[in-house]
Amino acid sequence: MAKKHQSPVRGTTSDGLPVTIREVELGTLTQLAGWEDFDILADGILRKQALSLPSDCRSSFRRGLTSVWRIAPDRVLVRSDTAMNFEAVDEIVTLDLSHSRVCLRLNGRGAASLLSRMVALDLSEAGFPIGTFAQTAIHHVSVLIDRVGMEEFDLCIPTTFAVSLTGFIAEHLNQVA
Amino acid sequence: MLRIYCPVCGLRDETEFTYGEDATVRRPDISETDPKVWHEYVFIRENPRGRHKEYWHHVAGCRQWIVVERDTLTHEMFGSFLAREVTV
Amino acid sequence: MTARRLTTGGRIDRSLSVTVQFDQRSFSAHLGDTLGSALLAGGQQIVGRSFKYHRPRGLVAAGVEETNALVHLREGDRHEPNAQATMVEVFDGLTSTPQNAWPSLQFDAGAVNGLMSRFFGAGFYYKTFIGPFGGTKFWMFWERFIRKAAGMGRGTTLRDPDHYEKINAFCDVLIVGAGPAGIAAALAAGRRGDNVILVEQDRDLGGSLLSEPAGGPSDVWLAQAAAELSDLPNVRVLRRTTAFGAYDCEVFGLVERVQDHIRAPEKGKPRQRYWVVRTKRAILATGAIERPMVFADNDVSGVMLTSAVRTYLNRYAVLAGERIVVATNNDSAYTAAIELANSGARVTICDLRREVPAQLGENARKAGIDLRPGHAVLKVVGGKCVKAAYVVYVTPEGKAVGRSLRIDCDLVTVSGGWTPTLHLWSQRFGKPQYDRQLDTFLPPAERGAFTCVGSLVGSPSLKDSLLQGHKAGGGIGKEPALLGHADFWGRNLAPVTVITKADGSTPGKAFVDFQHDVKLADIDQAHLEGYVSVEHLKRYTTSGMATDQGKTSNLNALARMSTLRGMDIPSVGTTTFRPPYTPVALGTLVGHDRDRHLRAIRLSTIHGWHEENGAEMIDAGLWLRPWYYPASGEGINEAYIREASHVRKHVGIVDISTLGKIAVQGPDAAEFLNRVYVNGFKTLPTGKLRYGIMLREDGFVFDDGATARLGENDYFMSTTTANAAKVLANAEHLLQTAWRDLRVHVTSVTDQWAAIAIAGPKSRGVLAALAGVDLSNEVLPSNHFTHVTIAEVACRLHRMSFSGELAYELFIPAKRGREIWEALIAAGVPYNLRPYGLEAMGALRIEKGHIAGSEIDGRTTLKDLGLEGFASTKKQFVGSVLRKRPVLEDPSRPSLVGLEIIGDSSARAGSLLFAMNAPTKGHGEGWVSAVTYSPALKKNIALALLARGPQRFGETIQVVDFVGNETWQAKVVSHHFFDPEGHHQNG
Repeated sequence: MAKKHQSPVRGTTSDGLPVTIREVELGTLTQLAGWEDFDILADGILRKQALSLPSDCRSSFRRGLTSVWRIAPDRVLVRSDTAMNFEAVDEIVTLDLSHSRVCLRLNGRGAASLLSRMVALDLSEAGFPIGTFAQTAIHHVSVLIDRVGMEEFDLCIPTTFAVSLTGFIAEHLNQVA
Repeated sequence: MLRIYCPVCGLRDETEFTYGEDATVRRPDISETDPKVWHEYVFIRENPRGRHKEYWHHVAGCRQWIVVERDTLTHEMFGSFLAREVTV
Repeated sequence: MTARRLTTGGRIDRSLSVTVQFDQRSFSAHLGDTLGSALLAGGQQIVGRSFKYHRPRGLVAAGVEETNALVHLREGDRHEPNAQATMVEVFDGLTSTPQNAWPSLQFDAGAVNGLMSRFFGAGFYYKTFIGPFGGTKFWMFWERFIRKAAGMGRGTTLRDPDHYEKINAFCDVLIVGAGPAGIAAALAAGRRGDNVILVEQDRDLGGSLLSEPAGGPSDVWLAQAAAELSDLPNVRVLRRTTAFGAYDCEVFGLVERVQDHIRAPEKGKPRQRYWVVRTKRAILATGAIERPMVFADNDVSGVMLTSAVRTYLNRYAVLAGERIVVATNNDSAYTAAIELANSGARVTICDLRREVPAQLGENARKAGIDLRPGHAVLKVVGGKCVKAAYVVYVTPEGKAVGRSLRIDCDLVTVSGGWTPTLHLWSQRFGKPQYDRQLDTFLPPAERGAFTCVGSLVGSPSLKDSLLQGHKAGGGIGKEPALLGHADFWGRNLAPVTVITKADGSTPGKAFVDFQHDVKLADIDQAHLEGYVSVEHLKRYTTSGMATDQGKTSNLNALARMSTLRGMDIPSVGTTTFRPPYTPVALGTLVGHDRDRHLRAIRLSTIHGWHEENGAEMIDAGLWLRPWYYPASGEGINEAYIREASHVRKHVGIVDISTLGKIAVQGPDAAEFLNRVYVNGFKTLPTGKLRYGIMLREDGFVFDDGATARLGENDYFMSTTTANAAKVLANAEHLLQTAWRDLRVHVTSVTDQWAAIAIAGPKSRGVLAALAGVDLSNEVLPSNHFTHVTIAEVACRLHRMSFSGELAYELFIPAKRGREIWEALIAAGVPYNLRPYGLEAMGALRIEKGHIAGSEIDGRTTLKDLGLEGFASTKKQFVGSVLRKRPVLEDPSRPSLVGLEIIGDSSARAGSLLFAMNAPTKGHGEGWVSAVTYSPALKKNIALALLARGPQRFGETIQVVDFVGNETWQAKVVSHHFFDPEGHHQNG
């Protein structure tokens, strides 16, 4: 596997709130994309895996270790711990992206506070509720941020930026050994 | 800094987007062979003062091209639409 | 000036004493003091030397509008220039030194400039560039001296030991200014449940209330309000924070001075924090700044703003003088004058209004003040500090009538009216409206998402300010009730601030802008020379262009201009304010985006191996790529020549993970490719790949790369490293706008695949052995691909050559990239396989005559690059019509050729080309795009674009590098230097 950042990194924000950053297994990441009948076709394929297509591009669908994010009106990303055999359907194209992203988990009372130093999103509970996700930029790199819990975020970051971005995020903490 | 509304992702900082071009010009059909028509499309722009429609690409977000109506003088925004849903 | 600390009063903590240093003198101070109040209490009369004339200057103000007391703060790597003493909170061990004074504050050699002031007047800089002194030469001679003499503080070149951070915030209401109006607004909005951010540049909340005598009713109200605010969880109060910029869409920039008030930041704390706040609405309660008066020698130490003297008295318990002349044109100076008199000073009020409001006059006289209606100060006497003032009866226009009278005094306080602090409003909306009664520019109470309250909109009383704030905040809860003084400056203001002799002149230098040393006479001169527009006036005299951005000077400069032009102020106009409101340290804006985190760096998943094996790396866009792998003692030249030769003889591998890779999927993918590439893609069968070229809409070459057909509706496109993002964005644009009918999805897979090129005559051997498959020409001919398994990893092997050798490109799931690289290194041992870097890759492609980014530079067409044969004539594609524009078909356009450099040295890319006997002037007949030493040819070669190039093979030309000032001769040849028949790559 690609060399991981010397995770976990533990530290506190300048307000003294603790955060842990660790790289976790991304597992399998698959994109389904389609055209006019995307909603029906993609939902059909997902349902055969006991998943379903979120109706909006903000809510994360979660079932066990599997997450489904609708990243555009006609695209959906499925992250799962094991490979899924999606049914081949005309007018739906699938693409394996498992190697294109690395997953960083930010955890702790200062997680939102740490992110607010890099992300131009309202990370309050009302502005970014648990069970929602956002695609945005950290240091001008596209990332997908999934709010897993009140104090926990999963970040999908491009593999080739993983080392640099992890270092950048960690730079915002007062690290403890 | 502008804040631009993306119909998919919501209100975001301008830095998440890249500017595309004038959204009021219509690309000629691929079969078009008249150089004048292509010249108009590629080079001729109105550059209005006031309300204007332009393409923005939500490149750090959902990667959708959107059409934003903006006042070029005051930066007031009047709405955004997915480019694919807009008739030019 | 004989200032002294009073034994009681003030808002300082007398139980906590600290020692601060200024100009090698120690001052004792209390917590709650500023460096300014400590200096004043300690009797420091001169705090700085002026910018041009090096005149000795003292404190003018008590706050952010201070123009003179700019100091060097702290020492060593925390040294900071241009700190305003009035804004620096004292801490134990504070050190500061004067700036712009040499050799000392008391005796300054530069003061001789004052004698040459005719010379340094308005537009001096501009005039040195042209006539009558010999223009540029004159400037260059004097520049050294001027640069040394003029200017503000000196920076440090030492590395800043502190850190700074940026933070993003969102709120419903941003309130700027925690004076009475801002606090009232925050309370009302907070009670309503709004998410509120209240910003105050001071250490304490209260604004103007902090200048009231301590222990009064306003302190009670303030304490209650502060307690309620801190109990509201939805209200965030940012003290020591300046809102310096108001930007479009209600975005604000703030600087929080988190740890500036102590000697050095505590561990883990940032020195300053840069807030970017996005708010739904903004309430500005930024108050107003008192305006000086303009008269002869009004810059002598001991001439201060009346409001500042009051602040020093009530907030810091410092009585700034014993014998005080208060010069005013409005009511607001009376409260201060009376308090000063009650504190023991002997006070004379010169009110240039002949009618003074009866109640104020009576109060003043009761306090023992010598009140002189219709009088003004004409001139101040004193070298290093005020000794006396000449006061005179004046006309309503401010011209002296009759003889002046000398009054001995040690302090002159001035109040020329007030200027609302509308900077943020103006940054956002431009020019404000002039209010004739108040003699100033005012923002409207409401515009867009902005509400302005309090003194900022000329509110006539404290009660009004509080109510305005309360209403703006939403009007929830009990109305604030607190009464202030009946001394509103705007009620009976006489709009005159310039006091002159009867003939309009001043008996001495009268300053308008203290910080930039702009005199009344400079404005007069600018006017005389025709600089009548307010924008020109500002730039020509530099009035308002110092670090204080004209907080005290703008209105007085405008007033003078309006007098000179015989127009009113609104007709003269005003300039627009730009961010920042007060200077912002660059380090604060930078935050953590510095050093190795200046920008995100992109690394191939094989990067660790390169690093561990001694590769020299090079930036390629955001990527860091192996440049060359030096053997011991090798420099770049030896290394790349060795690496390139090795590839031609044996086999080499190079990390090409940086290639742009795009998945093109969908039923109409073939049609899409056929439209974006100049060559045909509809006939490409599964299992094959094809080199393709794309044009821009305007017909110039955009990008090139190979696309493989993986399946019926599934293509894998590669792009150049540099254009990957642009090609993808462009494809998305076409598919989401003009070509919505095409059912195609494009997705970046650059990060999904690591890629390695294996090149050289032995490449087939290595791969066949490693993958255990037959890779013969029959099984895998050029432009075909196959699936292989290496070390149990499923990879895709493309037969494709960039080097001109037998070569393959191996695409590997990215997270396994390094494993496979190492497997190749291990399997390559018997074949003498070596890694090679970007420089050798460049040498190989130049030898082969392949184009890259240096040739696809946005100025070249297919024809220029000798690639016209690729363009299909049977279809339309992006750029197909405009590429035929006559100007692009001109046969004399520079076209791609090879150059063999004559002699032993290499030419330089960017050099210009000239015929042998042509004069080497102008742009020449073309340019060199890429150079290398060719190990295969054992010559220095280059790729170049030369007018009518292909017709000039054999001709010798001049290659001129105007930057390095070097000329070579070169022979024009075909750019296919190496193996033009392709025997090697097809082998």
